[in-house]
Order: sequence, then structure tokens, then C-alpha cells
Amino acid sequence: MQANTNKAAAPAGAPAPAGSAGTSRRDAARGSGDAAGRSRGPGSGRRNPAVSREARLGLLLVLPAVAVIVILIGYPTISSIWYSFTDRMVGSPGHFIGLANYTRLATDSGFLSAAANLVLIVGISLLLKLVLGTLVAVILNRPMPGRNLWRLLVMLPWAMPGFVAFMGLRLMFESPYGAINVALESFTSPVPFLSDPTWARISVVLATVWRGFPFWAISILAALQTIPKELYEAARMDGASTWQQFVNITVPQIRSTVAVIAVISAIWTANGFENIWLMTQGGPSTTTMTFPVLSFLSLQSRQLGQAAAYAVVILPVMALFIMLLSRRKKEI
Amino acid sequence: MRHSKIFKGLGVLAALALLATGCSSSPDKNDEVAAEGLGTATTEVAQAAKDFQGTFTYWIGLTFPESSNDLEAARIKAWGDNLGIKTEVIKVNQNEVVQQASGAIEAKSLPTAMTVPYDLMSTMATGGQLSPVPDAYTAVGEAHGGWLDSIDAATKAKSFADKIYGVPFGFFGNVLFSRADLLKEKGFDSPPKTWDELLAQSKAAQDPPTTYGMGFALSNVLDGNLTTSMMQSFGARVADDAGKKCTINSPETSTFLTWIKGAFDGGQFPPSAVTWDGAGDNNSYTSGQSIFIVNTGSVYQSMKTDDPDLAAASAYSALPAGPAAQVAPVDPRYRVVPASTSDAGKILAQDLFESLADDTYMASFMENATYGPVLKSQLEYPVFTDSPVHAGLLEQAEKGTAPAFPDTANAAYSDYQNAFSTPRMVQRVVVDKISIDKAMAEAQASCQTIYDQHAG
Amino acid sequence: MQKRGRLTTLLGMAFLALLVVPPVYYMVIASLKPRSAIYRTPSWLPERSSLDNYAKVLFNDHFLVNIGNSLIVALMTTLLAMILGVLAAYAIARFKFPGRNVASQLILMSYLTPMVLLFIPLSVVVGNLGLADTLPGLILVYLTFAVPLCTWLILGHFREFPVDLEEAASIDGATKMRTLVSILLPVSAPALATAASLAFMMAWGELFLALTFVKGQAVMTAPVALQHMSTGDVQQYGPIMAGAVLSAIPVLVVYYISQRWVVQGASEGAFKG
Repeated sequence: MQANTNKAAAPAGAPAPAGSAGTSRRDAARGSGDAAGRSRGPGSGRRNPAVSREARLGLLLVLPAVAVIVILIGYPTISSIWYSFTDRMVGSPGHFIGLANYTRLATDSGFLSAAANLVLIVGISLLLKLVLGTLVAVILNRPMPGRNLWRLLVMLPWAMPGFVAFMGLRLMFESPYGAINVALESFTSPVPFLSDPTWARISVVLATVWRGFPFWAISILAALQTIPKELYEAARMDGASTWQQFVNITVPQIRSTVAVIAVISAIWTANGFENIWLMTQGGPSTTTMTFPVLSFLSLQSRQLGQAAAYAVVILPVMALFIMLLSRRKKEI
Repeated sequence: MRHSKIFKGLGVLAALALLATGCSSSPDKNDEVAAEGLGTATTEVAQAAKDFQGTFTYWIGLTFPESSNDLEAARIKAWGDNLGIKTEVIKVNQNEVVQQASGAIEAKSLPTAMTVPYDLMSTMATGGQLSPVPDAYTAVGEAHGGWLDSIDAATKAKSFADKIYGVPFGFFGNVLFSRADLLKEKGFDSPPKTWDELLAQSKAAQDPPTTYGMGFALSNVLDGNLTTSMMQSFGARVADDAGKKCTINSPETSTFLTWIKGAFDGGQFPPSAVTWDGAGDNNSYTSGQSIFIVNTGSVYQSMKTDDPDLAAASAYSALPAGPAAQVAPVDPRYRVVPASTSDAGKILAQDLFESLADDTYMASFMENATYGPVLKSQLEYPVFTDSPVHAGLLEQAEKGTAPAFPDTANAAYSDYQNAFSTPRMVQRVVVDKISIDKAMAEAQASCQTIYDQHAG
Repeated sequence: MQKRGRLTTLLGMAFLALLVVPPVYYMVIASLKPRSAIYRTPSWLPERSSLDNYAKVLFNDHFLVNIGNSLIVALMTTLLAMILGVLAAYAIARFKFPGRNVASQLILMSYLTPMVLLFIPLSVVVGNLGLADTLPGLILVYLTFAVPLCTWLILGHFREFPVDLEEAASIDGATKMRTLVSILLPVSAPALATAASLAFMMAWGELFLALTFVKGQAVMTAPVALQHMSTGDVQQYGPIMAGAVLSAIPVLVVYYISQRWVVQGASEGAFKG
């Protein structure tokens, strides 16, 4: 059985040169800087045309991606930031009103709730996705009958369009005719999964986690498959237990992948709209309110300026979070 | 090798897609009605059809049931074919029409003509995004026995400054659905006439957690705006008569909030009413959980096929009155022409509006839809006597109140409603349990923000 | 040891099944039920089942056209994003040029803006390009999330991959672009497949932007068409879930293919290495 695992993991693990795989991966993280330094080395001596050719080629290669980002994201983002300082409404340009859209937030119960939910709903969802994703990835990385089918099965929550998943989950949590309450019928009176403030938060977190964990699981699984089997063999020879192997080999090897997934998933979850809108519309009252939902509600009354302020106000928080994580990633 | 597999898979799917397209030209039983009464065009219209460039695009409001949308699409196509112009019908879900229109306004990509709810017509007209259509409004009125008074008043509201921006074709109303079977067991033979009667019946007939009395959405959805009408029937007002200063913070609002809090805390509402989505009240009624709901009729249409027993066990009546007044706003749906439409397009659109008002066509359309009547000729349609829910709508057409009444209908009021302001205030009280005074003060502030934007 | 391993495997399988199956099962049986069986008499048993919802979705609503649109959009988005992403990531990871750091920061930060807000300015851009209500317009819009995502995932992988092999190749006289194609890409197959399948799935299931950018019957993607099945205030869980089941199939096929490709690509890379 164990031998099987190794066979399956071996080809995927092979990209790293055999033998020194563990360390060379680590070197590589720093390596890109070195590589650039080295290639600059000879060039700087005699103003080699190769350098400017390299620079030109480099610029040429990034240009399409950067163009897409500047035109399709940069321009809209900057307009949004500008809108947030105006009382712009749909169809009319509006006037500059300074920070009025922001100062209003201080007394806005929806805003305060959304700020709390950035930690409560987004933070806890992320943590649960990490735990569940790792667990599922580890299970899927073991030999089991019909492993490919199990991998497909785990993909299901992620394979259906997001809004369908959340509509379906709403059908699970609904009270009294939701699936969970139907299952609990003989034990308890209907549980208000979506309308009790505490339950609503729990239900939204569970739904978000259920929909999102396959992304973590398959990404971590991909990372697990690239861990060279030699590392585990050596550890086993040293008498390390399964848990020790997990902590000493698996965790360090998937850490950088997890950092990347965490950044992506954090942004998706914080910017998530469908999960909240389709489950609770941010309610009851503002219990499950998030910034995208606030933004959408303002758009419903066509207040572009206010909607933009709700969206812009979390940008610094997210940017900080990303910078911290990406810095950490470089250290690893 | 592996690539060929991918391509093979793609090929199969593409073939299936083509097959589906090929099948789509199935004969339509609505074709006859759709082509009814399309005569020869006047010289002006014929000339406009010649001048018109490109495709005539019409956004219709997607409503339940699907057959009404199909019929309208067929009618528009038949009209275009008759004039020799290319038409495209785009179905926009009613729940997204504000978002869709906002995007299109900013992108300057509005269609040639479109169907909008009253609130959107009001905000678009104020924003200068609509072209007036007085001729079509007069012509349609004259050809069909005249407009109903409430509809005429709504169309000529003061905030439109003597301009007519749309041609109504039907309205969404409020019909009170009640479980006559359950109420009769408790000795209530007729539906409640006031909110207090409704509360009393609800208390007597409900049996939580199986059934609850008041199946009214209190969540952040359009159905939640029923609470605005309730609030107004208690004598409260959103804003002053000039439509500039919010007046939510008032003793009347306080009375209303105390009343609804009492009902909520007393367990009259299904607990989930605070997070229902747009279909929550409907689902609650069709699942047998609620004794009363308010709906324009789509629930009846779906029960007719899915659950005829429940449809028969229900009574359909007008919205109850409050201590101060009966507020049962009609919400007319308008056909409008964006200002961005070309001159030829404007002429064509008005011709289309006239042809869509044809009584043979409209009688068949109303049969399939859940609109109340707006024209006197429509009162004669058999559906308004045959179907109990349509009879309720007919009653509202005669007795109902104008949009926003007793408030002043203007763009700010529409945006107040679009932001679900009243249900959010109610939730602050019943869910967050903050004091009524604080909830009113908050609502007052956010309301004033909206009104101020329109003043500037 | 053997026995304990087998028990762990069984426990693992039971856990996966419990985690995923119940909601999926409930959604699938809902796709077989009429409306009243979902609300009036809800049950975990497939009572009053029929294929009516599927028939409605396939034959009345011509859902396969929408699936076809989604396929075109998702494949083109993925293809374009992967090309742009690989080129940009390669340049940032291996080339020294002015603005390199700015470019990489830009890509990272460009994730941040919520789509809820972007759609209005974006519709201005797409409208000005004359691509409103077309599939190319939607593909362009989807590049907003697909390009940063692909670039960033691929960049992370390129950075981690040792440069020794490429340097050896360049000593042999291979050009930079040849090195990319013949050395770096093959060994990066797993990362490429992950990035591509992510981009595909996001483009496949996206609803919010699609609602604004493809409105016509002929250009609607699958999620928009499904959303339209809830007309007005009446939810049609049955047909929607039937459509959901149908539209999950292509994603699973893509994932299955990419999984095989990952393993295959990786082993090819190993032999070359």
C-alpha cells in the first residue's frame, strides 16, 4: 500500500532534480534574484547590447498582460476611487464632496458589521478551508480504490456555477422546509439557520467553506504530489512517525503553496458577493453584511459614490494583508 | 494524442449545441395572437422603418410565468417582420433591471425601447435618460376607452414636470393571500380589513412552528418594501410634501414600529422572514408555512399548476388598511424610449407601444401574466372575472393608491425604496433590538442622504 | 500496519463522502422533482421523480446553446490568459528590465478590486470598444480576473524552479524563448494545468458580470440562462438544479483531462530532466 503512494507521487515530484530536491527548491526561491543578478553581471561590464535586448524582450513579454490590467482593471479601479470622493449617481457626473462618503461610514451599522465580518466570516472561512483543504488533500494523496473518481467527487462543490451552489445550499439551510431541517424533523423543531443572527453567520461560513474547500484541496494535493518520496523514505528510516513526517516534511513543503492559495482565497472570500447575497442578503439586519453587499445595496439606489466608498475602504486592508503574505512567501 | 481527445470532446459538445439551435425553430402556438391586428403602417411609420439603422432592441421585463414573456417576444417579432425591420428581444429579469439599466446608462448602450417599473422610469426621467412619449400615451388611451384614474395620476405625477415618459401596460399590485381553510376553522369567514384584524386572525389561526400568521418579508429585498406601505397606512411619511426633507423620525413611525415589533416578538412572523430572498414569501406560502402573504399574483399562477388544492383553499383580497389610511400602491409597468434612441427609433417605438396595446393580444397576454389592468378596455378581459387573483387586481385598479401615496412620488423616493430602507429599519428593531428612537434616527439620516443627492 | 492503513483509507473515504455527497445528492434529487415536492412535501427521498425538468431545460430553454457559449468563453478566456500569463511570468521571473517590480506588484494588486464595483466602469470600456452584448466582450471582461490569476500562479512556480537547467540550455545556444518552450513549460505542466483549470472554472461559473455583459438569448452563458429560469419572484429550483447538473459535467471533464495531463506532463518533464 505504502509503496503505491510513492509510485504515484514519484513522477509528479520529479521536476525538482533528483537527490537534492528539498534544498534546491528552497534555493530557487532566492534563485530568481540571483539569476537576474548573474545575467546582469557580464552585461554591465561593456554595455552589452544583449542587456538592452533582454530588457526589451522582457518588456515586450509583460506588455500584453500589463496592458490588459491597466485598461481593464486600472482604469475602472481609478475611476472607482475617484467616484468615492463624489456624490456621483448613475447617469450624472456628480460633484467632488471630499471625504463625506467615508465619514458617513463611522455611524453606519452596516459598515461596522461588515468590518467585523471581515474577521468573523472571511477569517473563519479561510481557517476552516485551510484545515479542511489540507485534510482532504492528504486523504486524496493516499492510495485508495477509485482514487480518480474520488478526486472528481471532491471537485463537485466547485464544479457547479457558484450561484447555483449557493442557491442549492440555501435549499439546505432554509427553515422549515430546508433539507437539514427535514433531516432533523423528528429530533427538534425547525432551526432558524438563516434568520437567527448567530446561526446565520455559522450557516454562511459553512456554505462558503463547502463551496470553496475543493480549490484548497486540489491545490494542496498538487503540491503534495511534487514532494519527493525520498524525503519520506529517509524520515521513515530515521523512525519518524506519520505525524512527525507530516509536520517535518509535508508542512514545510506545502507552505509556499498554501501562502499563495491563502492570498487568492482571502481576496475571493472578502470580495465574495454571491455567497452572502443568495443566502441572507447580508441579513438578518446587518448580521452577515460584507463590503460587496453594502456596495451592491448602494448601487441599487444608484449611489455610485457611496457604493465606491464601500468598495475602496477595504482596499488598504487587503493590500496590507497581501503584502504581509507575499513577503512571508519570499522568506520561506 | 491527448489533444485529439480534448478536441473530440469539444466537437461532440459543439455538435450538440448546433443540434439544439437547429431544433429551436419549433412552431409557436402563439404566432396567431402575436400577429393579431398588425395592419399597414402609416406613411410616417413606414418612412421611419426605412430610415431606421441596425436592430430594434427591446428589453422586456422577465416575469412569471415564462409563457407571457414568450408571447410578448413573439408579438414584437411579428411587429418587426410586418414593418421589415430586424428586432431583438432581450429578457431582463425584474430583479436585476436596476443594475442592468445602470450599467447600460453609464456605457451608453441602452436599448431602443424597454419595459421598466415605475421607480426606474422616475429616476431615469429625472436623469434625462428618457424621451417623452405623449403622442403614444394619448393614442393608446383613446383607442382603449381611456386610462384608469390611478394610472393616469401616476403617469402625470408632479415630479415629471408635465411630461409623459412612458406608456403603461399593466401594474404590479398587492393582493392579500389568505388561507381561508385554516381561518374558517377558527370562525373567520372573511379576510381582514385592517392590519389589526389581520394580527388578531393570525394570532388565533397560527400554530407555530408549523404555521405562522404573517408571511411578510422583512428582509433586504423588494418584497420587504411592503413595510413602507404598512408604515404609511399608520400615518407615517417618508418625506414632506415637497419631496425634499425626510420625515421618517415621527410619532407615527414609532407607532408602526411598536406595532410590528409586537407582532414579531409575539411570534406572528415566520422566523426566517428576516432573511427571505425575493421568493421567500412565495415559498413560505406554497410550503404551507404562512397563513397570510402579499403578492401580485405570481404565486397564484404557480399554484394553479403545482398545487391546485392550495389555490382553492386560499382567499384573495385587498391590502388591509392601517389606523390612518389604506395604502395599496399600484406599481405600473411602463414601456419607455431612452433619450439615446434615434428619431426613427422613437417613432417606431411609439408605433410598437400602440400595437402591443391591441386588445386581442393584451387579453391573451394578461391571461398568462400577473398584471393588473391600466386601460378601461382591459377591465372587460375575461381573466379579471375568471381568476380570483386577477379579480383582486381589478379591485385594486379601482380603489388602489398612486405610487408613493401619501408621499410625493419622485426619484428620491424611488431610490429610498430601492435601498430597502424601511425593511432595514424594521430589522434594526426586531433583530438587533435597538431602541425604536435610534432606529428611526438612523433611517432618517440615511434617507436624508438619498434625498439630498437628488436636491443637488 | 496493513490493517491500520486500510482502516484509515476507509475512514478517509467515508469522510469525503459525508462531506460532499449530502448537499450534492439533495440538489440532484431536487432536479428531478416538481416544485411542490420541493417546498410542500420536502424529503430526502426522490419522491415524484421524473426527467421533466431536464426535458424543459434541454428542449424548451435550449440550454445546450448556453453551454456552448460558456464553453467558448471559458476556453478562450483560459487560452488568452495562459498565453499572456506565461509570457509575463517568464519575463518577470527570468529577465532584468526596468519596471519589473512595478509589473509584478501591479499584477498582485489587480486582484483587489471587487467585481461588484468594476462592472460599471468596465461596461463603459466594453461599450466604447463596441463589444457590448457579445461573447468577445465577455471574454475581455473575464481577462480581468484570469490574467492576474494565471500570471501570478505561474510566476510563483517559475520563481521556485531552479534556473540551472535553463542556463545549461542557454550555454548550448538555445534562445530564451526556446528555453521557455522546450524546458520550462514541460516541467511546469502541473502548475500550468492548475492555473488553466482555475481560470476555466471561474469563467465557466461566473454570473454577476455575465448578467451585465451578455443579455441576448443567443449570447447568454449557462449561469445567466439558469438565472433566467427564476422568473420574477418565482424560483424554479427543479429546472435550475437540472441545469446545474448539466453544466457541472464539462467542468468535471476538463478537470479530469487536466489531472491526467498533470501526471503525464510531469513525467515527460522528468525524463527530459
